[in-house]
Amino acid sequence: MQRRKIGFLIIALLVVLYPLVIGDSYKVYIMNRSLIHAIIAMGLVTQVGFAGQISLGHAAFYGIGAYTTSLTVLKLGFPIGLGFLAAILMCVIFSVFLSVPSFKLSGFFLSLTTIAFGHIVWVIIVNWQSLTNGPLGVFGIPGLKLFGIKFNNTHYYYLLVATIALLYLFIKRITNSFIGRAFMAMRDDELAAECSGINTRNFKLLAFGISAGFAGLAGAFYAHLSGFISPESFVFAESTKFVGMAVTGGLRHLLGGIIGAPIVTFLPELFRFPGWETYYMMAATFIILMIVVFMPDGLAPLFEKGFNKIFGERDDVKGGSSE
Amino acid sequence: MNILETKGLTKSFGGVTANSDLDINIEKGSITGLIGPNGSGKTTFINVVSGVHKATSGRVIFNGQDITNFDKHKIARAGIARTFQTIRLFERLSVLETVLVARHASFGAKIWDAVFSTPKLKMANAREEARAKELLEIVGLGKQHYHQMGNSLPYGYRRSLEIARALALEPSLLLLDEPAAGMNREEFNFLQDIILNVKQQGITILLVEHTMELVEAVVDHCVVLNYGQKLTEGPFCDCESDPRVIEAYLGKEEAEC
Ligand SMILES: Nc1ncnc2c1ncn2[C@@H]1O[C@H](COP(=O)(O)OP(=O)(O)O)[C@@H](O)[C@H]1O
Ligand SMILES: [Mg+2]
Repeated sequence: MQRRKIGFLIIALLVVLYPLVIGDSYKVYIMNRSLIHAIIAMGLVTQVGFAGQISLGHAAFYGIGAYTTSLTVLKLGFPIGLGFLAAILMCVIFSVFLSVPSFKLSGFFLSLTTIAFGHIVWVIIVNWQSLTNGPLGVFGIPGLKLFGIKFNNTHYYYLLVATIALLYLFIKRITNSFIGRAFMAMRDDELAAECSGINTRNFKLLAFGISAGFAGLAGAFYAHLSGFISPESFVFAESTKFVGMAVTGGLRHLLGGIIGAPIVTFLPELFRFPGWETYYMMAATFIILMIVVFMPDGLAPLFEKGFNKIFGERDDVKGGSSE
Repeated sequence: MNILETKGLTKSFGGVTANSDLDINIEKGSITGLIGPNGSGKTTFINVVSGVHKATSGRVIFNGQDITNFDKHKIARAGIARTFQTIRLFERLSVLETVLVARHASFGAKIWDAVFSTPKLKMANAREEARAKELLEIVGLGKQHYHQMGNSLPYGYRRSLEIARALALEPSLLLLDEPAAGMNREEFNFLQDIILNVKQQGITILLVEHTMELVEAVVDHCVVLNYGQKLTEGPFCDCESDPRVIEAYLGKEEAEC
């Protein structure tokens, strides 16, 4: 037990010290972006990995969240906190529209509707110029402030880490409960789950709602962190990247999103050798492809095993995985 | 008193009428056997009653209430539980978790109880786990199996697990679709004990089965289907010796000879 505590302490220390050791504000900013993506990937782990409802349209919720907070803050004068809340709420409301097709569709056909949803939202953002300023985007989104101090990248980093810790606790409690069991039953055999008294519609609504809410929160963070948003951040390719992060980390593992997002973000950086600029993305993508093909459970189980080998006497799980 | 009555129940798949104008009554507390050759519509009957398929016409009355075409989960919660002819377990759930899925409604907790890990949820967890273990005991799945994956169990145990999951709904009517299929002698004898044990607890059973030995041993009443229609009904020995029934089972074979 003592050893495990030391292990957790070391990880916590690394997380806390990261921005101080790195020192480079731009690198911390990139890390913040990846943590924002981790929030979305965590929601996808819940929705896709645990509840079995695929989504390739989450960039839409990311965008809805980002635009909702930006516009309510800039045009309606909301305090930023309220803008965050509005972003989450708006995404949860929109998630209802996306869950309705899932009552009838699954797998491939559901993924097509989520792609269509993502595209519709994107087209609206681009074309509703009076509201969104179209392709030019929204400028001058205020950053966060606390006690009169403007947040710098390091402040954002700590806020994101704390937020992720809370969200982790949230999905851990849910997935380890009777609700998570209903999610997994629905994922493994929808018909058998329903014949066992599970109202799968409610659980689809819940799964979509949770992950949309997460993506909305991430969108709000992104808007206030970068101060500028435009439609190109919410294109279809982003949606696939979020799913890619969740899969790389481990689609059915609670740590999947948290581990997957930074890896997918920073892996390309490892290949930025001079003269290699054209190929570094390809190399990184290839490695991610290899991970997905040869480790379909993602990197989180590997991480967990390594942790247990170094610090653990028992084989149980940091935070508890699904199984 | 009848726990279940169907009135003119009909189910067609395109041109195939799998259930045709069925009036079937199931006496409360009894074991009713539903037999008939392959393709005679037995599974379809279970599917329509449990809400898996929508009836084309006709009605299903359960405890005096019309439940025709209700959602599956509503029918399950109203007290009709079922097993599947081809076993359907949850691929990544353990034995204990599989049974707990069907205890869902009994938790009486909300999502916030899970998020804040309230005492109410902890009590519900302990209570429901205890009940799930009792049910596993009834079907012969002991401690050593609790944390195995359902699908990793030997065949007979998987069938037992399906029965335990069905019983976890605390049903008043249990629909069993060929529970003895593929079982060895030992498993077969044990299944017979489970079925009689369940009956003793006051649960009504509809048993679809090809193994006549089991049907003969446990049923109080028998309904015979052929080509989706009710051929005859009555005590098992009467049905068994009915020339029409013999023809339905053997007729094809003779024709082939
Ligand atoms: N989902 C379905 N779609 C189309 N035809 C079906 C379906 N289910 C059953 N049938 C047809 O209905 C008839 C009765 O099948 P079934 O109820 O499975 O018979 P049994 O269980 O008595 O062997 C068969 O002709 C079968 O092909
Ligand atoms: Mg059948």
